[in-house]
This record gives sequence, C-alpha cells and structure tokens, in this order.
Amino acid sequence: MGDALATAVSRAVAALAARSDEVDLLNVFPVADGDTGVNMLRTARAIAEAADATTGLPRGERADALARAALVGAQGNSGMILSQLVRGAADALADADEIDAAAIARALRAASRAADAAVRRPVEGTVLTVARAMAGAAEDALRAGRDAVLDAAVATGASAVAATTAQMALLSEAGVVDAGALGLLVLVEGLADALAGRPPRVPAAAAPAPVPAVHPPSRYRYCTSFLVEGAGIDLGALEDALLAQGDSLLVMGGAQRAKVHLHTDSPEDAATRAGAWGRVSDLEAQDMRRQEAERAARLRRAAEPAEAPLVAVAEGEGVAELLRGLGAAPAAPAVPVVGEVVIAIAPAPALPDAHVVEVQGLPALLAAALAWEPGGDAGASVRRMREAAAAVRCIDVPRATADDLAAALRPALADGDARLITILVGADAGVDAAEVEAWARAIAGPGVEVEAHDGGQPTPALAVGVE
Amino acid sequence: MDPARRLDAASTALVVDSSSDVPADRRPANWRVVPIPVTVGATTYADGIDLDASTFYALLERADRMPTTSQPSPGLMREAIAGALAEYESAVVLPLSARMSGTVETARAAARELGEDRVLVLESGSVTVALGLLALRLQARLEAGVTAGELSDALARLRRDHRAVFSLETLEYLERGGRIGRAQAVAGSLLRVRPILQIADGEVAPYARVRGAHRVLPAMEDFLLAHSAPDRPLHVALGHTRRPEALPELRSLVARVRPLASIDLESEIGPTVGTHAGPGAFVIAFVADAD
Repeated sequence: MGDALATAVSRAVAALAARSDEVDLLNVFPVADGDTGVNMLRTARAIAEAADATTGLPRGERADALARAALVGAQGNSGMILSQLVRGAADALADADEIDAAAIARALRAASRAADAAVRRPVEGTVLTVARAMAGAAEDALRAGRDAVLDAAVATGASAVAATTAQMALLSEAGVVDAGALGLLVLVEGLADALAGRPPRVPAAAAPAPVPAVHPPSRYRYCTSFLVEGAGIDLGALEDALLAQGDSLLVMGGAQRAKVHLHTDSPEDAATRAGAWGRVSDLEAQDMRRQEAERAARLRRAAEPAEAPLVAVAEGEGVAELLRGLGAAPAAPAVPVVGEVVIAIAPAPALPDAHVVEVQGLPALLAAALAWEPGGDAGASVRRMREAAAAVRCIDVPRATADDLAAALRPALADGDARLITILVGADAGVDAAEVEAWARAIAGPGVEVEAHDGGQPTPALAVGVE
Repeated sequence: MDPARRLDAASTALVVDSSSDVPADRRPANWRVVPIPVTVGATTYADGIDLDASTFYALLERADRMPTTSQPSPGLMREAIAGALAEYESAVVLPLSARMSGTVETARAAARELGEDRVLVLESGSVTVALGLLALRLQARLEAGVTAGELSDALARLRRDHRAVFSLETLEYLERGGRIGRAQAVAGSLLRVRPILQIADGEVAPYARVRGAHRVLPAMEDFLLAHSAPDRPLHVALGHTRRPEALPELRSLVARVRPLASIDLESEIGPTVGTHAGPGAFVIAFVADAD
C-alpha cells in the first residue's frame, strides 16, 4: 500500500475535518452522543497517524497497527463503530495480494460485517445501513475496476445517506440525515478521490440548516471511553459488569485489548470496575450536557431579535439556554428589547412600554423567569416574579476556586435556612460545573440541594444564588 | 335510569375502572373494577390483574418507549357491567374523566346495550385517588340509600368541588410523553424545577413550578389552604408513586392545616397517571362533603 495509503487516509481525514461541524449539527439520533463529527474525526486522526507511522512496514503488520489505532483512538459511539469498520477492512486487506477492485469490495463487506457484529442492538437508517449499501454497490461494480468500485460505493452510499431520513422517525421529524452515516460517506469519498488522483472536493458553501437535536437528553452526563489491556479479557463478561453503570454501552476489541464506551454519571466507577479485567488507560469523559448546550448555541448564532412576551437581559450561552427552556427570550445587554415583561440585572434599563423586573444577579434572573406565567395577568405575574427574585440571595464570586466559593457561601449559610444553591459557572472560570458543584456540596453539607451549570457569562466567574 | 329509582349498597354495584387506584382491601363488597389496559413495549397488561404498581414502575424506568394506557375494550366493559347486573339490581358506573379517556363513552355504549333502566353512567371528571375519593363518597350515599337522581346531582357537585394537587419529582416522564418540550425539560431539570399540577376541568393541568424539594410540600399546603374551608368536613385521599415513606408527612400536613379532615384513602398511584408522573410523585385530593 505504501505511502499511497497514508495519503489516502489523511485525505479522508481532511475531507471529514472540513465537514465535521456539519456532521455535529446533524446529530439528532439514535443516541445522545455528544458531537458525532468531532468523535469520528478524532478517531480518524488516530488512524491517519498510524498509517503515517507505519509506512514501509509489511501489509499485515500495518493492518494490525491501523485496527489497533482505531480501537485505541475511538471516541464516542460513532468513533467506536468507525473503529470496527476499520478493523474489518484492515483484516480483509491484510491478506490481499493486491489492492484491486476485488480487494476493495471484500474490505467494504468485511467492514460492514464487523460493525454489524459489534453493535448489540443495531438500528437501521444509520452508519451500519450505509456501510452495507456501500459493500453491495462495490460488489456489483467489481468488473469496472478499482476506482469505479469506490465511486459506485460512494454514489450508492450517498443515496443511502439521503434515505436515512425516511428510515427513522426522529430523523424524518427533524428533516435531517443520520450524522454518523454522513461522516462515513465523507470519509469514503475522501479515500476514493485520493486513490483516483482527483483533487479534494469543496464542501457546499451553505449546507442546509439543520434543526436542533431532538433526541432525549441522555440520562447520564458523561460520554466516557477507556481502554482495558490485559490477558484473556472476556468481552461479554466485561460488558455485563458495566451494564448497570450507564447506557449506550459498547465494548469492542479482543482478548488483549478492549475499548469501552458508555454514557454514565460516574466515569471513574466504571473504569474501576473494568480494572478487574486489566490495566485501564486513556479514560476520557466528555460532558454531554455542555456539548448539547454548545451545539444549541451554534445553531442559534444568527439570533432572532429580542422581541417576545418575556425578555431576559443576560449574557452567556448556558444562561440563554436555560432562559429559553423557561419560556423567556434571552437578549444580550446591547440588543434593543421589545417585551411585555423584561427581566434585567440591576441597574435595569428604563423601558416605558414594558414591566421591568430588576434583579440582583443571574440566579435571581432565572428564578424570576421561572415564576412568569404566560398568558396570565401580567401585573400578577410580575408581582410573583419580583417575590421569587427577592427570595434568592445573589453572590458574585470573582474567582472560581473552592476557597473563594466557601468564603462567599459561609455568611449566607450561617443562619441554616438555605435549602437550594444555584451556581452558574462563567465562560472563563476554568473549572467544570461538576467540580464547582462538588465544592458547593462539601461546603453546604447535607440538607441543601446544589446545582451548578455552565452559564457561560463573561462575569462573574461564579454567579451564586442561595435560597 | 329513572331518577326516582332507589339505589342502595345491597342492591347496587359500583363499577369503577382501575385508574381510581383504590386498593383491593379498601373496596366495598358491591364494587367491581374494570382493568385499564397498559401497554409496555409489545406486551399489554391488565392493570391490577397481571400488573401491580411495583412491576409497572420497574418497567417504566426501564422502558425505551413510553408505556401507554388505553381504554378498556367494549367487550371487557360490557362483561364487567353484565357481571354486576347478574348479582345486583342496578349498576352505577364511574369511569375516569372523559377528558382523559374514552372509557365513559364505552361504558355508555355498554349501558345502552344492557338496558339503561338498570345502569347509570356518571362522568367523574377525575382520575387516580381523586376518582377513588369520589367513588367512596358515592358509596357513602349508597349505604345510606339514595335515588338515582340524587346520586347524579351529588356526583355533579362533587365533580365540581373536588380538588387535587400533584407534585412531580422529575420532568423526565412528562418530556418522554411529549407533555413538555425538550428545552423546557432540560432547563427544568437543571434548575431542579418540581412541577405542581392539579386536576382542573377533568384534566391534569399545570398549577405552578417551584424550585427545589423543600418547596414542594409548602406549595401543596398552599393549594390545600386556598381551595378548602377550615370549618367544613373535608374528605381527603393521599397518593404517591413509589414513596410510601412520605405518607406520614402528607398526613401530618393535612392534620395541621385542616384538623377536621378525615383521610379516607391512601394508595399508590397506578399506571394511568404514573406513566406521565414517574416515580416520586405525590397527590393530595380533597372534597368538602357533609353527607
């Protein structure tokens, strides 16, 4: 395969890199999986690095190295499945004398089979369906030569990707194609173009605007993956041991090396359990809530004018997301607002045509938005909103450290009346909301509910509300 | 049925559906229960027959798709009423609210077939233990002896006057059932919003949103205070999903704010409401009734 392989793989990666945002935005189903495009891209990059590093080695060794790199580098559900596609293809190509039309068709078929076999509950209208369609097309086009086989796979793959919309209710509701399926198509397109000596494709300038994700939020917070290395790993037993830890569980690999992917609230617990089978490494936990919020934010960059019955003046994508969920239209401070009721942090602007609810901080702003009753008597609603906001003691913590938080919280907790602490973590706080939540729990002790979210506000680092 | 027809507990069966959530040991001898069909995945169960609450909630928490409840088939309804008429001279049928289910229509069709002179179908405008409470109030009248017309009038008044307030621990099941949007559910669960719902006009409708577990009982207390009078005999039913340990707290809340109240029914909420409420929900249902 020589350097041609390394080049082809890197071209495939470049093709995906150019469209990974598009793939991310499509991710509506079947499982909440963070960012499909980014996950596939990271997995593909690991494969490309291995292809580069193994240039000149015998084909069999190279195939092993690629399959291993794919498994070790696999991120997210889509990356896990991609790693199995690569393993299947690599196994098939390892034995091939020549990379001809027949070898390519065999590789595509082996890739499809390996991925099908690795997924416990396969769903149609996904990357699995498209991989199968590509393999079939390649087999049908065998006589036309190597480049034509790949082109046939790409052409059929493109139709199969388009057809995924109709195959799953959630995709057709959203009017989008399956994200992982598109990711695979882009990768194979890149491979085909490189092997045929064609220049890279230029992605369409304006991709059709996808809709926000409609999949239910995963019950679990972290999209987690890690590697287990040992001797004689029983993949089935390992999978069983992890079943209760979360969902979207995938365990792939072999007896010496297994890759685990799951959605869980406690990545460390899952890794500890897996430790019974071997050495655990490469633990990665992506916060899916943050990813979802960021994706939603990207979808709304071209923000609508701030005209709504209830407008809340606040900064930060996380804050905006929460406000929308509460039925309020978020507006950046500079944006002119038109609303029946406007909530703003003091000093609030004077708006002659609106009821203005002035609050002391972000947590109070959210409390006020929550107390709003759409369609009701605005005067009564505004009274309730002011009461709700007044019940929240807002504290701005300028630096996101456990000590600063403790110093700020202690006076507010001194009377023992606090029952609920809400913390919005600023954009530049440099800490995870989960970590801040753990600090606050330790400071407040039992009997106080604690919630911390990525607010994304420019200041303060921690906006704290005590009720 | 002739409004002048005499009804009493010895001669009249009261046919309820299983959504009334009255446990078997609390049902008077003249009651008959029509099971509500509950479908989970590919399997359909008969509520209270081959599906108990603990099994149902275990299935609910595991289910990929929302369980659904439907109305009892016409055959099942006819069988239940015919069975009641084989043993009793009259049957009074009190299904869940027509706004939530077509069960009352099915019952009316069965009544037309079996003889409307002996069967009285009443629209409850209620569900779960609130419906159970209304059924118990009708039973009190049957035990005292009543005419069909008086019973209809009494039910119309109970339907109008009864109130029920629910609290939910999670928005998850409302969202899974499509009752609220995803953005709302995400924001709500991030902010620890506990929805407070009520039965209004025969439907379970939003009443308020509170933040934090500590505000749930005070919100229910406010509802009870706002919708009942201190000096009238108040009949109360308490319900929960998977939280029997919370009943003492609900009992003492009722005893504290309405000392004259009698708690007539305590039960676990079944699948009809439980599908949407999920585990950790509570209900206080009450109605002032002197009879």
